[in-house]
Amino acid sequence: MSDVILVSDLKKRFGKFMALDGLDLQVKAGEVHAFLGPNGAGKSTTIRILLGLLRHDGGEALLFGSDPWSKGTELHRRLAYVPGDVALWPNLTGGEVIDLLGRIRGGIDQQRRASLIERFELDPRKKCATYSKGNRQKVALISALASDVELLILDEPTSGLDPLMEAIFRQCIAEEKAKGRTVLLSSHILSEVEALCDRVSIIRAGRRVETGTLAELRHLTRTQIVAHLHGPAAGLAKIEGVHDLEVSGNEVRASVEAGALDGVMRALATAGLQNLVCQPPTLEDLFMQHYQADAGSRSGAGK
Amino acid sequence: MSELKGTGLLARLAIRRGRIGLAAYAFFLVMTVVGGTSSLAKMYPTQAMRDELATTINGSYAFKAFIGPLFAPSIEGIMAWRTGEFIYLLIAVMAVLTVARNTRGDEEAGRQELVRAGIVGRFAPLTASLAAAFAAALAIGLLSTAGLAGIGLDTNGSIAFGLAIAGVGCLFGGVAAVAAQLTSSARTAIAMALGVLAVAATLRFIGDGSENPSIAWLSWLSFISWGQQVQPFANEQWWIFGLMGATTGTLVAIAYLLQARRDLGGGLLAARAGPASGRIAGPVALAWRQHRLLLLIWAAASAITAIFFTSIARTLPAVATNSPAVAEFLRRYGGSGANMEAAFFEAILLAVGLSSAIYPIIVILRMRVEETGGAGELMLSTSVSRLRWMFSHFLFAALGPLLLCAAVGVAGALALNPGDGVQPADLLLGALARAVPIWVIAAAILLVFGLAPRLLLAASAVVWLMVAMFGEVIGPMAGLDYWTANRISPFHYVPHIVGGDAFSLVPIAGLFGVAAALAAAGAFFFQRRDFG
Repeated sequence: MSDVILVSDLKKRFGKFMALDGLDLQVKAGEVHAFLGPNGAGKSTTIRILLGLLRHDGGEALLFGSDPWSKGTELHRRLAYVPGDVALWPNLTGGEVIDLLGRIRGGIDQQRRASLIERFELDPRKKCATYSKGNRQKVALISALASDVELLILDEPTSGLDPLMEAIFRQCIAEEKAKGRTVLLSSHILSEVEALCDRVSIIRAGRRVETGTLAELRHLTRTQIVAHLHGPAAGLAKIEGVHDLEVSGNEVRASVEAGALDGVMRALATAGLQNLVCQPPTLEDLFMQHYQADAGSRSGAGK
Repeated sequence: MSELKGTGLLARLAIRRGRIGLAAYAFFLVMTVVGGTSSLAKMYPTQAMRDELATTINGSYAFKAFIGPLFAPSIEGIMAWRTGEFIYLLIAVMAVLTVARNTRGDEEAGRQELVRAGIVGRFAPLTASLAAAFAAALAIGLLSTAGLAGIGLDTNGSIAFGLAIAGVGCLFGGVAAVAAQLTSSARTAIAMALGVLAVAATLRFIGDGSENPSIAWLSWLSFISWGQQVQPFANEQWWIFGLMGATTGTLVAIAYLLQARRDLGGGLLAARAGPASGRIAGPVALAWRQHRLLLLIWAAASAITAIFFTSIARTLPAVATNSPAVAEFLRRYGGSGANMEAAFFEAILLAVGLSSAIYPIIVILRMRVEETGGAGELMLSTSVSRLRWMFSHFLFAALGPLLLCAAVGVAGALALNPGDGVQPADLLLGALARAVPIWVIAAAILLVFGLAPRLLLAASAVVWLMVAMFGEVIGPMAGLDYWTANRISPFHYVPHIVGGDAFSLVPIAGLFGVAAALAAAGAFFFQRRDFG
């Protein structure tokens, strides 16, 4: 599969502030790629560089194999973008904006436009000045989804949507994925990422700290184990990859790295298992681990 | 007084937000009145010359329309007359912007929601912005008083002039406070308040300039005229300050009444539904939608102004050209074969050119607002290139002034009588030629937009004021003759076609070349900088 987005060692500074400090990102054709990171990590800066709005100071950013700074406008025919903070022209109606954006992207599917307006329950006759944040996002989303493009770049597109609309959004993205479109989705809504995305890149302080499929990422985090044993389990503490071990009477609690599971299970079975609860790593755990300040070094060690 | 809680804090915030602009305003206005005195003293050194000037001005409705009546033929009287209208207009703009930004501007941007959720009373933001505007107007007025008294002018006159400046500022602060209650858009509120200012200037103009004494009372409907009618350094009319105070108080009371009756974010003029689908084909069509209203209103106002000026030009006295005041007037504004009427038209064309030059500045500032506001980012994520987006706006910065100049030229030419000393074709050509120096100004502002967009607002103000004021005020203060100092202005190089100069393509082509080079440089740098 070819890469729709390929970013390597990307650097961008604003004055003295290093917004991107050697960022890598790879989005393959046909995948829904989640782009995650705490506030201020550099997600929107990366997207703006990919759109050719900002110029990078180092490294390389390729969109459809070309440089977005010099070839931006031609590349834009193949993508639709929904900004995180949608600002529209206050004196135009929502319907006018949808049509305008569709037209300057190179065409809009009228049937799909009508069906999306219905599904997202948008009143297209209202002036943009009177729309709430969620409704402005709907305008940008409808226009993007109704455009005939290969790539959707969505920067926190559902942050203002209600749960019902969020569900509609998920359906729409699933449909786009089935059509073979590529999606770069920046989001803080983990359930959305879990439901939609094939692969995930997590960035922090202008660098990528993790990338892979969700299954691969889960592999890097620890399984929580609570076991009630017949007798004492010998040697658990010595197994590499066992953390936060607590033994009180016959109860054992620990968080175990994927590579250590085998040894731990053997040791527990030897002691005689009465009861065992294994909790797979949640996405929340995964994100918390990476979002926290010292996450960089930990994930580095995990690789 | 829980409704006013937080006013002090918000007033300090308003001053803090506007501090650089307000300080620059204060400096510039005070320098204009104080420095204007010394440069006028050089221009009219003898009492005979001053008397002669007063006779010429007051004997002509056309001159009175232009700057208002001259009440006292002294240096300070001439200074108050010469700088007054300009100062009153600028202080009014300052007050309008300060009030509108901190009331409706904050409300529209959603900031006031955040502020009002704190321990802040319903009327605190309105009160605070009025307090900030009044304080700024008063400070500028009193600094002018101090400056004028400091150079040894009559104390009473200095106080009257300073208070007149402050009073006009307060009046328009009140106007803006009312306008901010009427509409939910800050832009519309500012446009409405500045519209009142334009009407005030026009009423003064018609009232002072009319031959017909039965409509001279129109001046008294104009707040700008009130400032002049204080008659500083002549026969000071102190009672006018009572009129100003009462009217300001009434306007403020109306604003509070309206504020008490509306929702946060709401206006009295409700938003209407529009079309569900659009036919806007691309960036140029979109820019037309954004710029057309202001442009068309402006063009209509320009045409009306031109008709009015043409009709009052006939009242110009057939004075001998050997009087120094008239000779100076002819030398400055006229052409090689200028008679009084032709020179008057040249002066009008210059004034219209300067005011029309504000239009492209507004267009470029709006383009910058679209860039920083996020809508431009959305636009550029499509197949629209940066250059095309910039062009879509700059097209109106270029064609807009041409339309405004054409409106003046056509309306003025149509209003001419066969007996007038000016040829319709000359007037039309002279007006159209004024578009070229405006392009130079627009292109210079575009260069700032491309090179240093953060400085755009400040640079726009500096460029415009330099062009408008350097020859008249700042240059003479520095000891430069008008004709030398004015070389900084691109209008300087346009042939005075109405005044009898031959039409020459050389200066026009030269100015056009400068404009093209500046615009190309602006586009070059804009394409190489970060967007947003």
